[in-house]
Amino acid sequence: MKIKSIISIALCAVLVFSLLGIAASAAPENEVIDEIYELVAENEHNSLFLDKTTGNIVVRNAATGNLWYSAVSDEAGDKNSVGIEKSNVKSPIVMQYLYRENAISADSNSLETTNTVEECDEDCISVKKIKNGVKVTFTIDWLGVVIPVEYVLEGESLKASILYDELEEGSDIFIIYLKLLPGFGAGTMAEQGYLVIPDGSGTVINFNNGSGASEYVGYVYGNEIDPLSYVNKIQTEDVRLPIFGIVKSDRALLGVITEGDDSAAICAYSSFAKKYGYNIATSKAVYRYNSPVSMFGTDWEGKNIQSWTMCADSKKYTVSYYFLGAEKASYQGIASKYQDYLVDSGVLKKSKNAPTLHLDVYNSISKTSAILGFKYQKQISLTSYKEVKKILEELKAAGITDITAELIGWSGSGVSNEKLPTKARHLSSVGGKKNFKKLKAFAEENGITLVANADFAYAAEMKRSDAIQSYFNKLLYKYLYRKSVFTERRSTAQLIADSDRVLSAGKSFLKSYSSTGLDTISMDTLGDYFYSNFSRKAPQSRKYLIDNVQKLLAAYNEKGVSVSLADANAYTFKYVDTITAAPIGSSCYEMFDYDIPLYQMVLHGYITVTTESLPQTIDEELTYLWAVSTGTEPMYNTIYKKASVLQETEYDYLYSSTFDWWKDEAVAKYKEYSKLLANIYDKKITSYTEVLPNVVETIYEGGIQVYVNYNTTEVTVNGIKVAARSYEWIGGDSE
Amino acid sequence: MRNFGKLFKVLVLTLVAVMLLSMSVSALPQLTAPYDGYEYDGYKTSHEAPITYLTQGSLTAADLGLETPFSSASDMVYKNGKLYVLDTGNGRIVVIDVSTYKVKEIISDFVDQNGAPVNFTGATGFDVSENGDFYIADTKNTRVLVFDSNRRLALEIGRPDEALAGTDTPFDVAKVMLGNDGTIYVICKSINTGILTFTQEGDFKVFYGSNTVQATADVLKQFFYNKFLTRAQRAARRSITPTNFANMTLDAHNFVYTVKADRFIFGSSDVLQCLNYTGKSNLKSDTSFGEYENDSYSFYWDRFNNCFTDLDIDTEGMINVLDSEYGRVYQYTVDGDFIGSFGGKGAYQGMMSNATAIETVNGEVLVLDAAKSCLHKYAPTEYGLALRHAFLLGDSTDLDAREAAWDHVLKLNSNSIYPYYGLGLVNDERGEYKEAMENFQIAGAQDEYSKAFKQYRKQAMADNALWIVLVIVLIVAVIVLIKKFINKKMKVVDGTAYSPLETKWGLPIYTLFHPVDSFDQFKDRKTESPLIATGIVVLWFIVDTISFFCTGFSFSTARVTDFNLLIEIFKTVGLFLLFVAANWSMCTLLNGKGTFKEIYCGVAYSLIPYIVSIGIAAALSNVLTGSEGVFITIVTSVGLVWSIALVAFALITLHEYSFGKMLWSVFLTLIAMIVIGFLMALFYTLMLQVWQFGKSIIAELQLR
Repeated sequence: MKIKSIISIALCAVLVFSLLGIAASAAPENEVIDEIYELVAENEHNSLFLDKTTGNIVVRNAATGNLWYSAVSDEAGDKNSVGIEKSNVKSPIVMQYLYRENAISADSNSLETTNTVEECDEDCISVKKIKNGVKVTFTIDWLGVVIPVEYVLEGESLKASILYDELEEGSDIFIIYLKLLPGFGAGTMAEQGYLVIPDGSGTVINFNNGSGASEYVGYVYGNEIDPLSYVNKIQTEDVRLPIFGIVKSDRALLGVITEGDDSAAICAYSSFAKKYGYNIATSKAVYRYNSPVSMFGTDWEGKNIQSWTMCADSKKYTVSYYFLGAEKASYQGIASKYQDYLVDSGVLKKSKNAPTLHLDVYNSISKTSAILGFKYQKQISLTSYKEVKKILEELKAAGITDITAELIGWSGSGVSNEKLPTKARHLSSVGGKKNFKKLKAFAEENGITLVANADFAYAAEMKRSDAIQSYFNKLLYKYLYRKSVFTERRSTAQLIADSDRVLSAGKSFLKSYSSTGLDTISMDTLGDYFYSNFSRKAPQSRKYLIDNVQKLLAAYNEKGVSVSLADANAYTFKYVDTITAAPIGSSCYEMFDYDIPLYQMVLHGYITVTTESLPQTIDEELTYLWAVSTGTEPMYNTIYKKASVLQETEYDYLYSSTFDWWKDEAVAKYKEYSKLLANIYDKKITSYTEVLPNVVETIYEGGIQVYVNYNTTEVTVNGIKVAARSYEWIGGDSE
Repeated sequence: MRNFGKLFKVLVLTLVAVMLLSMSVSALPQLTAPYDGYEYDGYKTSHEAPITYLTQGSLTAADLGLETPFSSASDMVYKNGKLYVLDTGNGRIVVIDVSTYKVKEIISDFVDQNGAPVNFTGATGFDVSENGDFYIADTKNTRVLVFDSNRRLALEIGRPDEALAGTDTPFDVAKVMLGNDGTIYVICKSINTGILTFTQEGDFKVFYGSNTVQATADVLKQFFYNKFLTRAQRAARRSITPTNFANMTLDAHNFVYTVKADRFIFGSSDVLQCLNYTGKSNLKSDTSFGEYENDSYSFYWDRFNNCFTDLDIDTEGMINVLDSEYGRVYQYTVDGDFIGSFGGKGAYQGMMSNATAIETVNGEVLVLDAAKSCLHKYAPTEYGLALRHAFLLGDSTDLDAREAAWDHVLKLNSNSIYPYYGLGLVNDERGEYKEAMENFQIAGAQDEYSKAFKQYRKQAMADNALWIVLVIVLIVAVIVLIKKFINKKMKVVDGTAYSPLETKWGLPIYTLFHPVDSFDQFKDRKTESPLIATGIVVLWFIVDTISFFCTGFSFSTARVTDFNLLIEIFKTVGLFLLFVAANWSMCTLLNGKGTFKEIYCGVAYSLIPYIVSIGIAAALSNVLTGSEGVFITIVTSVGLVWSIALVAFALITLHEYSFGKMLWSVFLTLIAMIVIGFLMALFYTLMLQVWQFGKSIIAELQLR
């Protein structure tokens, strides 16, 4: 008895001391703020301190007492950083620019980099107090550059902005990129943690994983088309959310680009031997973009002329920072905070759409055919209206009626537009108006949602003045690419409509859409439609495009038509009900450690999100399990005819979509899954963790817990047995 | 005490939980890959396909448990259940345990006969025998070293002077391989007369697998082009000397497989060879390896340039070829069917930077990357396994298993032509010939289609014998009637000088049987009709076009979209006009008496037999099989010869030539045609230049 008590006391002591040790090491080394920082603003959430000599800031978060530095100092980190990187990570602003005299032949490799720590000493930095914050102006005399920056405390967040309308470039240079607070909250080489990057579905870069040989740059909402490149090497995912996050062991930082996200990029790197000494995630404002042209052909002696045109179009470039404590120090915490932000700003509203099995039904495609050598586009029916009805009847017979069937290629010239659609007219080759009415009646009787798709962005032909052009008035095209040699398939070329045309086509279509009697429309291609029109006759910025797209979506909403988009950018969230084909992974760069469903976690409970089409994924079983763990609804590309009808068309991406082939498995899986979905479709995700190796636990508001086991063996977690490659859930209406 | 114990338990558990959570290294599933899958169809066009192998990660020095990472590691051998890596830059061999993928042993202590250490830094190739002997191609010191299992030098092979007599080619050994009979195979970078073989004693045996340059059209074309290119351009072109092997391997049956770096070598298409004991290739001669599509829109010879560096034959006989140019692994069956390729180049997960060696271990593919200093690992996906399984069933007698396997592949990838081909073979063996034909047509397999068609036709003929007889009788009757009718019309009716056939409209038919008389009538009665002649030429165009679309699949795999209207017009109408114009212009030189109108009509009328033969040939192609193609050739030959004879008669009669003069005139006509053609081409390129010049001026004006 005595020995036992001695041992237990000793063990307790060890425990207590180790806990204290952990607590001690977790506390920031500089609890006390250096005297050089002065308090310049304060509210109930945060206090803002400024260093007048460099323009750097410190924020003390009241709730946690944590300090966040825009210039982290760490001996090992400084030693490991090389060249200009040493000061880049300690500057409030990093500027990349080109000398005007070189600009015409310079390319992105000849950018000069400098930062405010190098260029501006105390005398060149002027500070002015403003309401709830401070305005700091950096002047680089020898270039004539003036960069005004504002730091403002607003509610829970710190808003850091670059004021574009007071920005002066000087006459010697073109400013190309401006990085704002790159070192804010940087992770040191000793710390544990990771960077959260919204590439595709979302991804994580662990601190110090040693693969930061080059910086990650992800253009928000996608990059422009390069008019000179005819080769697309790798298909990568785009950044759909204008956010980035830094997660440490006991705290996290979320950055949201709230203004100027139309022309921005997310940047990140982890520490890397003799180059980067810190782990950073930050953003940069894209001020100018290169839209080149090639003269004299590209066979030999072709010369490229560059044009660096202004593309930023807002008054300010603003990033709002949110300071999170230990309970939100995870990527799920970051997602949940961003979700709160979207809810508070009125972008997201609780979902009213009951969960369904999603079918992307392809009705008709055009195939190049010939009569006696005269080529013409023949409409080939993949699924007529009668066949859609058959599909729905078969699913009903199998016991599923909560279905959303999206009809693609039902009008105009099928899936790919010949011209932009302005009138809703049924193709006779898929059955015409009569059969559509029968189909619609069937759907209505059985509570099946019918959605029709229209593409207002791309078409094979359109007026030159309606299409997007490069700075040199060269038409830009969108292609499908060969997967073998990466070249474009010329026969898939489509022109891109500028946003004014998209708005007018969409509005005119709306008038006749009501004749279909459907109250939902899908504009799949508008989800990631994001280009500047650099044409000098009618230039349009991406900000202008965002405004037009939002206007169009709002117009449909006002008429009572809800909108569904595919792979949608964040600026559309306010106006959509459903997002199909949401990304299920990232671009798979080497520097990424693993992919996370950030996109899905942000939207769950508010917008219905589906997977990419399941038959075309690499591992359908695994993807389905992942969908279950994120509450994502399954989606299938569907055609009724035999797949050989797609031979020698450009639609080889629809392989294995034949309904008969996947229906049995899809039905069986969905019957199970729908029971879970019914309980969670309108609930937020409150926790998402890997509780055992390859076993993920998802907890929803209201307490429902879902366990997904990716292993090939059975596991027991929290007393629940989960079979191999399967899932279980408790709470709500589970059996 | 009890409460204390409970509290203690709770504390420990929470502490453990906290530690676990904070230390957890997440391994959530990877659902996407940075590379895409594709396959080629019968027309060498690529289509999307699911990927066949998915990356399982890249094993760096840290993952393997190595202190110093690989440096320019250039070769890898999987033998005796262990993976050996030749770490060229560090002059050592690293042995990896394939069950844990951790380093088992680092071998750098090779000694010579006197115990002095031997340095082989810079060695680019090696092999390991079953009892642990090492054969190392010491590139830097131009020698092959053989060490026994005690790490002692057993043999050193230097330059075999007698084999390389008369040349000063260095013995720059690159790769070495041990054959199953003890022969040592050595590839030298500069020696392109084949693989050097040595005995276990180090004596030179023979050059194995020697290659020669075959004079093909490509070689001749290259020769002529070189005359016109600038020196710089010539340097950029490929040389015609045979290139050397890049690497070699043995398969399970001890056949030697070799691979060459360059795919488009003028004069030889043997990028990958399976050499038998005499050094001749076993593989089907029409198999092609690497990409089939162009990666640029410039000239024909700038195709996608694979650069193969290594190959491996896995335990099931599939060929894996490694291309370092694009960082891909290409997989083929022994018959040369392309299963798929995976990988790529770039800073993405599972992509290579400088791939130097490949091995298959336990169903997974390992690639050694010299630049990234790691081993990339790939495992087959569901689709990859399904495809391999279906191919490996080959022509087994279990038709149901084959059907199920190909069905599975089809469901996973409906773009692939292989399941259609496989299912077609199953249909064929089951006697379901109609389905077999359908499947073969989709797969683009002409020969098999033809064979199945033969069987189908047999069946169809047997089933419909009665109808066929009736139709034949009908056709014969119609022919007889037509003949009778023509004969009647050719009879001169009492009172008239000419038969009813010899009118303007009947003259074309009359020409078929009495050409000389008919052409005489051109001059005498002026009964030729340019309108009818034009009609005949247009008919030629129409029939030729129809035959393009209506030829049976056994004879033509041309697709509807391959049809080029402009070329078709030129082939028929254009050619006709060119001949007539050339002939007429030449007739001034030879005192020909024919007018343009006469020549025009005469040649046109002569075309009728040829046109008819094309039509009949097209019809026949739908009922004959490939092997019966000789009948079609006979029909078209008869038509062609008849037409040529008629043209000869036309020229003789209309121009009043002798036979010899007619031949001379034809020769001159052909020359004239070439000249006219050349002038037109010149004119076209000139106009093109003007057009481009104009365009660039406009472009520059726009930029002002």
